[in-house]
Amino acid sequence: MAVLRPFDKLPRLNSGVLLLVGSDEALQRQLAEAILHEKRDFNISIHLATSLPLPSERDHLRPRMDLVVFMIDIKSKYSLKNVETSLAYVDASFFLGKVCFLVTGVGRVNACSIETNAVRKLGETYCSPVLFCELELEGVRAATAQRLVRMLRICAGLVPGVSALSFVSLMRKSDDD
Amino acid sequence: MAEGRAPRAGADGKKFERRRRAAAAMAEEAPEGGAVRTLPSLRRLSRALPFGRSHGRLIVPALCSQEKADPQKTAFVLRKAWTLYSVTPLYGFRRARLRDYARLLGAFIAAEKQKGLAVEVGVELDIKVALSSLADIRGSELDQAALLVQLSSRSRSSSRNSEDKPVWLGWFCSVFGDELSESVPEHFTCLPLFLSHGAESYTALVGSWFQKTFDCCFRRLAISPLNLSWMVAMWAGCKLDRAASAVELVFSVPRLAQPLDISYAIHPEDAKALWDTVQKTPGEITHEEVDVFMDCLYAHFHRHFKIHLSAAKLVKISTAIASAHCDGIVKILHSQYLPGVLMLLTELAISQIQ
Amino acid sequence: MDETVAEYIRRTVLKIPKDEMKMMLQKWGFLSEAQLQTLNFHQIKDNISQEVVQLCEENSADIKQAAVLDIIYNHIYQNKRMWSVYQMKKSGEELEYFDITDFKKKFKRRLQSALKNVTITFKEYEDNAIWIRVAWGTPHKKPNQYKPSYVVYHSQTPYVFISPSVLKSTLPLLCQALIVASNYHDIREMELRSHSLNSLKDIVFKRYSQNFQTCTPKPLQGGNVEPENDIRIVDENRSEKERIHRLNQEVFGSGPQPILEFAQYRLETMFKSDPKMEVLDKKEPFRCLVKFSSPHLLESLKSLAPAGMADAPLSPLLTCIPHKARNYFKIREKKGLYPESFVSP
Repeated sequence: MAVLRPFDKLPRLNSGVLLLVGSDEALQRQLAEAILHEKRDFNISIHLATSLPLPSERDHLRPRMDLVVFMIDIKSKYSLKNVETSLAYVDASFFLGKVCFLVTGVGRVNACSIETNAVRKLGETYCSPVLFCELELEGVRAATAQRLVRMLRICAGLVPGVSALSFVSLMRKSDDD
Repeated sequence: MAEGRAPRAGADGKKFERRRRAAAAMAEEAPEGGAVRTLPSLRRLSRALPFGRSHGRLIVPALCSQEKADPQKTAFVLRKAWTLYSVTPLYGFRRARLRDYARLLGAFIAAEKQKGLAVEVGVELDIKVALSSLADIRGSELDQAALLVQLSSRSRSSSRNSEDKPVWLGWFCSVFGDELSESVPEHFTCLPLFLSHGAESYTALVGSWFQKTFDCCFRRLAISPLNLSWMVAMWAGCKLDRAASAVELVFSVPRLAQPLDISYAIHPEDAKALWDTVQKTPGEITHEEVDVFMDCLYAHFHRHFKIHLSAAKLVKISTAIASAHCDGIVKILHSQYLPGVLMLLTELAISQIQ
Repeated sequence: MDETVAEYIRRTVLKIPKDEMKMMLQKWGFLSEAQLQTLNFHQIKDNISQEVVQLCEENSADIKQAAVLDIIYNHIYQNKRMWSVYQMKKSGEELEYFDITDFKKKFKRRLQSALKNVTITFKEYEDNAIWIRVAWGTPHKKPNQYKPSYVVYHSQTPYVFISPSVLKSTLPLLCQALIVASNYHDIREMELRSHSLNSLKDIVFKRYSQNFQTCTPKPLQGGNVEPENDIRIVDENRSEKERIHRLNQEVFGSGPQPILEFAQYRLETMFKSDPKMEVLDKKEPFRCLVKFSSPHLLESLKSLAPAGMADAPLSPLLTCIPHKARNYFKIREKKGLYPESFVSP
């Protein structure tokens, strides 16, 4: 079961499962805690992984992933490479709104090791939104967490009338401005 | 030369218009010493891209010496550590008044010292200011000639025939800074790159006088790891006649409990051989090529040490042509490539202004 | 008292931080307690040192006493100097009783026969360490007291720690004198250098914690241990993290690492690239010089894999530093990839 598939397991009742994939564990943990701090009306569980594929031995314990967030640190070229190789292990149907790229470290424009164009291209290739943020700033972290919680609600199917796919096409339009 | 550059400047009309407006808006309210840590708009992010950003490709103009450049006049540039600043266009600057400016600046410095903002403890020093134009340091005809500011000291107690001792040097220049010069209104002089050598306190004095007098803004020019990678790839590939020094990359891994610095120095011939097989078109460098070059170096390192250098921060690069540090400190070692290096630095300065 | 001696004492005292001066002068023991009482340690250092020189004048100090003060200073501030490690070899297995007087006599005799103008000073310390200070002159000039060599010899071991003088030509002579004095027949420089003398001793005397295989590996959370594990956050890579932690323990041991500040690798291996990228495929080695530096190198390297900056296990080129007792390496390609243990010239 190396490839992550969106609908191969049954969903849980009134809950959303978020998978964060990225090479910086400390940052992931910070973001996960910020997300859990947010007010919400459904259960959230967050899985942290450094890369894909996920270890197969825990596969039977793993729930269905509603939203996969790939974290890239603009200061680390390695984090981008890590995400690029992990993308191969995600089933194509995930990219219908259940994947997003989160780019952190943009507060310091002068510490870039990655071209933002490269990341934007990645988002375009995989038809998924790219969010730019600075997770080291508490305020921005909280705002990003809020945004992800809203996305997770939609991806977990908890917002009637709005599917992940329709939401992501809405987001894509606003990104171009 | 002009043909090679036209596509870059004119192709993306939207960006051009944006830059014109940005230049007119002038001084940014960012604090000195680095970007403000807020969430910038995407537009600001795109300015962080390295050279040749609109097409991801840099047309490298002839990196050879300019015949008209007098090596004597530019010798002062070589082998000194210069601290870099970006400077917004100067308002109301007139070349004819250099002597007046020198006098005014001298008076300003003396006044500040009286106020107790003394720069040197101990011996009483009189600071003499000299401003001069360096016609040799410019790229195209559109560029302004460089402006040199020299501070020298003469000890009050010494006799008449003692020489002035140079204490501080700073110069403004623009090498192929056409993008900026084309977009500013009249009465503005574009010299976006400022280099200083000497005590920080003098830099602050000179800087604040220029800021007050010409309504401009100085900001330290930081160099991102991405830009440093471009520089090392470009300069490692340059041909040199005599024995060159190693191509060195210095990385820092700060977030560990015990910080680690890694210096990775490659024999210049081997580095050049690697770059030659990566670069597809002579005279042109794409960001893919820079990527491949860096990835090769990272892979070779990983093979031996199992460490992901690409996750560390590139803080300094050093080649036989020049060395650059991410804090905006540069040393130029080879007069032959001086115009090329200054062109890159001018471009960095312009992208920081906008 | 000789002018040069006075100046030397003055400068040596000036090096000492103000709050350590009294203690060091007491250790020196050359000035009496009564004399020390007369010193005002609250004035500026310049004045204190002048007063000390005055007192030394009263006691007619000569260069020998001044040299002892210098050894004391360097013993306490040993980490200011760079130390190299040398290993001596005996020809046979003769277990000789070490006679310190004999050692000193032979050492002095060997040096003085080669060079009349030398100042040689010995001081013994508790841990069986003999500190030797040598100031070098020429047949026509008096010894330069400001560029001495220091040697620390543990008589029960074949190891000598040398902080050489900047006058490089003196080193062979120094090594020779050491072998002669200690009844060894050869001495070679190990590729091991550091500012931390104690760490060098830890490495060669194998005093650092070696790896111990624990029979029941504890499943620890690698790195930061969460005081309260939020069950809503699931770490998918926990077993990998535990593996990294376990490997780190195996390789580095669980105790504190000896303090080294740098490691240097001269690489002369072939450049191998991904065949997809049509890059360099020369038949000649890709020459590089890699230097790692850190206030505490081994701890730093140990933390790389848990931080996601390196693969685990870390390369043997790095992990072999303590047991190979070297931090300078020359790596050549040879079917596999392993460090050569020959000493670089």
